[in-house]
Amino acid sequence: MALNILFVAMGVFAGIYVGAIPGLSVTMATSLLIAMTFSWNTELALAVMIGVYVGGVYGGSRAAILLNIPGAPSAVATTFDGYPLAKKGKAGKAIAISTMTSVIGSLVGLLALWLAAPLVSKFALSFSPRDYFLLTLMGLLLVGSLGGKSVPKGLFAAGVGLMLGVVGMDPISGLGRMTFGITELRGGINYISVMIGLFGIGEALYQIRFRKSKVIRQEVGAIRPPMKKLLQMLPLSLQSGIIGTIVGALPGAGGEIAALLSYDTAKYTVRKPRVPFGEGAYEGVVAPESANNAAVGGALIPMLTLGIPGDSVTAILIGALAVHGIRAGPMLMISNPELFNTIVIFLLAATVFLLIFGMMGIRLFAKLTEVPRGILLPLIIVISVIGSYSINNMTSDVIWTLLFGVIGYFMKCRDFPVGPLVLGLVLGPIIEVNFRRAVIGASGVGGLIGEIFTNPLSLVLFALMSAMIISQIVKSSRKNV
Amino acid sequence: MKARQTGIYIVVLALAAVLLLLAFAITPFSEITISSDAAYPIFIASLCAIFAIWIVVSEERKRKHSKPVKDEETEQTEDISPDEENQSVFNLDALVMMGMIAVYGILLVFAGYIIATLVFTAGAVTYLYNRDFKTGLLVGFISTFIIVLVFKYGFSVILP
Repeated sequence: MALNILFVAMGVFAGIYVGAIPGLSVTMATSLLIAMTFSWNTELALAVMIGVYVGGVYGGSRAAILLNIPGAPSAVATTFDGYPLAKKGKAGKAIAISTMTSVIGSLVGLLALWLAAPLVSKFALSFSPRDYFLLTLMGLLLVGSLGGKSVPKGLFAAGVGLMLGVVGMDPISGLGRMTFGITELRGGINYISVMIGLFGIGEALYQIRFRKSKVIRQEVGAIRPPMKKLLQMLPLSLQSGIIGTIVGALPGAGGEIAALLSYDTAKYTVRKPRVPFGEGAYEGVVAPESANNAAVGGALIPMLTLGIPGDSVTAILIGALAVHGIRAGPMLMISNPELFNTIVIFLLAATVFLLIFGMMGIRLFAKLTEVPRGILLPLIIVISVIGSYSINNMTSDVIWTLLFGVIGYFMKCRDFPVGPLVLGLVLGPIIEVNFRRAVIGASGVGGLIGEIFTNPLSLVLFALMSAMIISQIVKSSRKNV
Repeated sequence: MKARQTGIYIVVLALAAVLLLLAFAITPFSEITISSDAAYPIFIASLCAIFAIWIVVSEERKRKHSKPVKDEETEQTEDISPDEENQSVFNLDALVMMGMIAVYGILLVFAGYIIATLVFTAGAVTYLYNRDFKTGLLVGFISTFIIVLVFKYGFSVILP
């Protein structure tokens, strides 16, 4: 266990570093970690991945506060007030507050995971294929609609992901589909290769466009935690932590939405901030930072209990578990309860290390972020290749990775979010199997529709899904008018 | 901008059409039933086609409602904003890197991981980092050595 905890610490340290560099994402780091941790035992691999996940989400706030550039998408809302605080010479205090409230948020998410996951997984055992189908479809629609600047682009990307998931043997009849007679395609497209390509190589190619941008030195003095201020902020931090956990637990929503929603809520609930929001209010740092870290625990709930990823990072974690022969889902909690407890302990340890590393070594982190991109980016590509090859020791996987790296680059250039495509690929087979089982079980589509309307859980899921689709269409058409 | 948008429309619509064709090619049309292996792909491909049309419609509406950017020096209106220009797909550095990645892929198959990685990192760092060949070569050698040491001997990962 001591070694595992050490690896959690290393993961948190690396995560803060990755998160602090604009352009390097937590998703990219965790996808690269699959290569490194391939031959490790499951617990050690999870230790470092959870460390990177927690550290990376927090690390994004560093660049957001100091440079006005969100280091990670979940730190976008932190720039609104974090940077104005830095401009006023309060960067140290802002970082201290962001660290402490990230810890509070992380603890709220952890508590929710610890309490809710066993209950959800027990409840999930009663799910029929019909409910699973509706739930996964709802998650995918949510990802597609929330995943980027354009709703149709997100949904299109998700659809393409679902179609990629069709390639290979039919899960029910075992016949090959869209394989073009190529033997390698009979097993389907390896989604880990696709993930590494899109998030690793695609991101590196995209960042090359900005390689000439100057490395900005991050100037900050000592970090002193303002305890009095922190106590004043505690209720807001808890409120944002709860919002973050709930949003994070929605399949596909993730820390970015959680942070923005919490920031928005804080603007309504904090009646009289000393400084208005957007001009350097501490509340504007507390809300998003508590929420995005709470979303980590939240996102792990659907991943561990239903096998449905809460965000892109948990999609990779599902892949990492699969590499180690473990299938995420309701049975995981029953067949392997120790693993769940281990994850909870790792998350707790990561939160403690977040506090330690967050309050110390600011100058070291600032130096680390100054590594030139011209050197860093080729190395990311090289490590991505190892990651892809190590899964099956097949060159065809490497080719997929390189190909999807180029596709990812084009998608990013044209504002097509890559997250929905990956989640479509991961969720596609689950959606299809459950859809077909539900149709066969209900003797046709008419029967399935009838069952949806007579079963309370299915009806609730269907109503939620319909409301989501309608609200997105209305929102999209309003945006365009 | 209009040409750029047209390019996106063509790619998206063509991709949707290809997906539909592939889905319908799985099973002869007369044998398709709701629980057959082709029904789900046809359903998803149809959704993709709807989303592709939605993209075209919404982007066109967006374009019509967006104001053209005025060039302050020439007082002429431009169709491309500086931000959009930066978003261009045809960025020379990125395209050169894609070429290097393609060569890297070929070298991986024919020359093995170590030689391919050494050539790629040295070449890529030279190109991306001030066109400095000495630094490129040095980074290439050191990084390849460290990667092989860490992954092959440290983590027992089989290299390509």
